[in-house]
Formats: sequence, C-alpha cells, structure tokens
Amino acid sequence: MRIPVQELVDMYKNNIYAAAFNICKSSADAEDVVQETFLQYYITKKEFDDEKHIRYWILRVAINKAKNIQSSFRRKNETTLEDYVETLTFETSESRELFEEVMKLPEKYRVVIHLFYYEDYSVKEIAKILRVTESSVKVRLSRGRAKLKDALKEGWEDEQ
Amino acid sequence: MSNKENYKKAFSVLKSSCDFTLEEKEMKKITRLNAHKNLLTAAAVLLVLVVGSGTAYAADIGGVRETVQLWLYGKQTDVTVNDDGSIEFVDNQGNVHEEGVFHGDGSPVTAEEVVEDFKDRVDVEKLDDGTVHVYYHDRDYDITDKIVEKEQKEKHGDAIEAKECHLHIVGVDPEVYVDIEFDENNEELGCSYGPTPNGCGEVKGSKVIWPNYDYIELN
Repeated sequence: MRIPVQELVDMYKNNIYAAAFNICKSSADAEDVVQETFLQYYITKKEFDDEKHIRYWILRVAINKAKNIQSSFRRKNETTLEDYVETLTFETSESRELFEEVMKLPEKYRVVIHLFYYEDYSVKEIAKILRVTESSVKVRLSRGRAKLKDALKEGWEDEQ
Repeated sequence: MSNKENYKKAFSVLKSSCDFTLEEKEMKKITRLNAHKNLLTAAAVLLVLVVGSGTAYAADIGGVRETVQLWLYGKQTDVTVNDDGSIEFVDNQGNVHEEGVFHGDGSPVTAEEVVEDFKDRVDVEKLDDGTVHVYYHDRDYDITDKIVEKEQKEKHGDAIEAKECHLHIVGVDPEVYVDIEFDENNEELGCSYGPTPNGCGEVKGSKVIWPNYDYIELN
C-alpha cells in the first residue's frame, strides 16, 4: 500500500522533526531531514504492508539521514541549542527541564529514549529500527533512564 | 503523570515549520533540483567504480533484496542490498550495520554497484582489548601505535576529534591511502580512503600539504 505523500506530511512531519532534532540538536538540520525523508518516500517505489510499516520506514530513513548529517560537514547549526530552546513554549518548567536533560544525554541513549517514550515503540521494535540487538536497546534505555533519574530526581519516575 | 506522558508533553513543543511542497508537479521539480544538486556526488560515486570484482551475487525471489559477498572487517561477509538503497551486514562482533547507499539523484543503487563501490573498502575496529585494527580485503593490521594526537582538535557532533592516523597500505592490490579520525578513547569518528591521498590535505597558498602517511606493507 501507499499513502499519498501530502497526507503523510500532515500525519508525520512533527514526528520526523522531533526524532531528527533529537539526533541533530539543530532545527535547520531537522527541517532538512523532514524534507529529505518525504522526498525519499516520494521517489521510492517501495510498497508497504500497512500504515505501521510506513511509519516504521520513514522513521528509520529519518534517523539514518539525521545521523548522516550529524557526522558530516554539511551541518548548518545556525542557532545554538540554548537559543533555540528559548524560542520554545513549554507548558511547565518541569517540561523544559526534562527536555534539556534529555538533550544532555549521549546520542545513542537519546534516540532509544525518544523512540520508547515519544513514539511508543517496544524494545524489540526499536532494535529493528536501529538495527541493533534487543539487549543493546535495553542497556541504552536503562542507562538513559538512570541518567534522567539522577538529574531530574522527583521529576522522573523510577522504572528500573 | 507517567514518564511517557511527561516526555510527550515536553517534546510536543517541537513542531516542524517545514513548508513541504504538496503538488506533484512541484515534487518533480524538487526531485530534479535535488538530482542536480547532487550531480557532483553522483559523479564521485561513479568515478570510483572499477570493473571486474569476481564477487558472488545471489538474488532473492522477486529481486527485492539481493545478497552479495564482500571483504568486510577482514572476512568474506554476506551483505544484503535492500530495494530502498540501504545495505546491511553483521560485523565480527555481531553488530548489525546499516548504511544508506544512493546515487546522486537519490535513486537506490544495484547490488552490482554496491560491490564495485565497496570491494576495496577499509574498515576500522577497536577491539575489547583496546587495540585498534584496520581491515583491508582479507588482511588485518594493528594500528594502535600509529594513532597520534591531533595538533588541532575539532568538534565532531558530541565528540571531539582528538587523534588521527594516516596510512599508506601496500602489498594488497590496489594500494590505498587511509585517513582516520578518533576521539580521545581511540573510538573511530570517521574514515576516508582512496587510491591517492584524499581529503586531509591542508591548503597553503597554491600548495596542498599532505599529512605524513605511515607506510604499511601487508604480506
């Protein structure tokens, strides 16, 4: 099956942006990833099983593109993370603190934490998206949680 | 509120302002523009293609995925080429690698092109005992003592490029020049290689000053 790219943009552009920002820490780079991911979807002739499969595919493409940008010299970085955070309107100070602490985590923990807590993917699904072992996802999730608990204290429930 | 609810609330502030072009005609224009923008990349990819690898291919039913064999990390390795242009393989330590390989216009590569592009690939690996090895074809070389501190440390994402290593590997056809950057713990941050010194030359006036390449003869 295929979903028209226009519909897909409305459905997932914020998800792709959030996942890409989580890796790149740059709004300009994350916007590039959104554009390139939908372009990739548009030009691929791939047939998908269902909507879940499409969501999985575009997130995987977006994460790979974000990682490529992250490790290349084409990074834009027009605004610092601190300046960009100042432009965001958080509902509460706790939300802002959580956002900032997540951004301080090493990239490999951030991605796993994001896919688990924001995209609701299971450990097994995250392992499939990132092409790593389930035990590796569990370790990253556990270490990421521990760091967040350490930094946020009461602001993060103990799930260990 | 649960951690999930708190996390979603915090990250819901991230909204894409992406003004994505929705009309198909416009999309085609973007595709063409993208292809044009990447013309140089495509030319570079095609330039490294060399004919005649003698490597085995096996196409899956329907031709959606193909498996090819390449020397990766010193071993003949099955590499799966997906129809979306990505390749997958498992390295010596059981880690699954996935890499995107596309033409300059974004179209996926074929299995044959992957073989041509990767058959003279150089891999770098830090082993559990702390030693760092390069792999080229079926050869393995410990380069730990060839790694030196960089004069000017550079930021590389979250890491710092603190060390480097430049190698001229001979004894295996074709010979290859390799430039590798590492963080302070000898974890690889980037590796480039080619038949001539590449990428790391420092331009001084009209001259390019190449780094000192350690000469390594693999027997």
